[in-house]
Amino acid sequence: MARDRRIQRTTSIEANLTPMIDVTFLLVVFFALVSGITSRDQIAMQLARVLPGAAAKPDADARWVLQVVPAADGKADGYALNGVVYSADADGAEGVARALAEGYRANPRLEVHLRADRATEFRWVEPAMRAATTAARLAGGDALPRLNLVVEEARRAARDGA
Amino acid sequence: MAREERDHRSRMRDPRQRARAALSITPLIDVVFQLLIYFLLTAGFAVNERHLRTEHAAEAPNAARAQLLLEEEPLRISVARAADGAAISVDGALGLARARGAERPEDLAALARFLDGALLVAGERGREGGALTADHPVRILADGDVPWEEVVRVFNTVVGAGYRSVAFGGAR
Repeated sequence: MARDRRIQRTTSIEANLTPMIDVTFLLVVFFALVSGITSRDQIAMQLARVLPGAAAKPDADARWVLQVVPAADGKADGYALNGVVYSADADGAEGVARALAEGYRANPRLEVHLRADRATEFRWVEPAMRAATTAARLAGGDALPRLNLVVEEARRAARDGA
Repeated sequence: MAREERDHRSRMRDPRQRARAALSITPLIDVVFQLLIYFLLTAGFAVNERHLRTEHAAEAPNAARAQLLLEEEPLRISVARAADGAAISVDGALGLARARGAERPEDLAALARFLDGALLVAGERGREGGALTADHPVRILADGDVPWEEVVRVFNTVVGAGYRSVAFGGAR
């Protein structure tokens, strides 16, 4: 009887996870936004595949990405640089060269990464490459046309199957 | 003291009186799953991206350097569109490169063998026939209708063989 009369004391131990969840959600939202911006800048395309060997991992040096916007039948719709799309003709290439020249003036060690679809014909890619060298010449000084071709390294299985 | 201890043990054995320690991990699992899905979706964007460094001897800003490069006849690799990819032909410093009697390469595998044999590697046995130095200018001349991938493959083959002065000519 005495036992029944005893006051029952219950202890509730809870870890307050709300602040952690808040912060985690903030991080998720942040990364979602940042990745959205990156993927908008990066035009979807199938990069040229090469065998492992000469290609290197991109480093963290200052770089601009020049993209040949792919179109049907191996053609190009334009050249994208820093969010601006230039037309795929002589005027567009000249605009790219002028924009790149500004970049070279600001940083003579600027590296230009050229992204082009694997199916795009060389006639559309070559003006972009020429624009990079023209830009270095326009910039003068110590600027060198540092142009890197962005490629996709073939996986071992694909290489063996090839 | 002993009685209190006994009472406490008695309470712990009785499920009705046991202290309830609850830790809600459901929100944590929710967030972890969200993160997992997010990383799974975004991980595929930048898979095997690599870059190939190029050099533009054709339009190098330094005129003295361009003149220097002209002193040596470049090895010219022409790339034309073909049904199964690209047709390759080599000329230019071919006489120099063919010192070992190598056949003209017509595909990428043959080009790799040809370039490897033509490269002069000082101090390495079995490579005496190679006559081209690693700095010998190599020019890639591609037709305008050749897919970019074929051009890049040729470039990758040349660079992979050890040549350092590789330039692209204008689209023909």
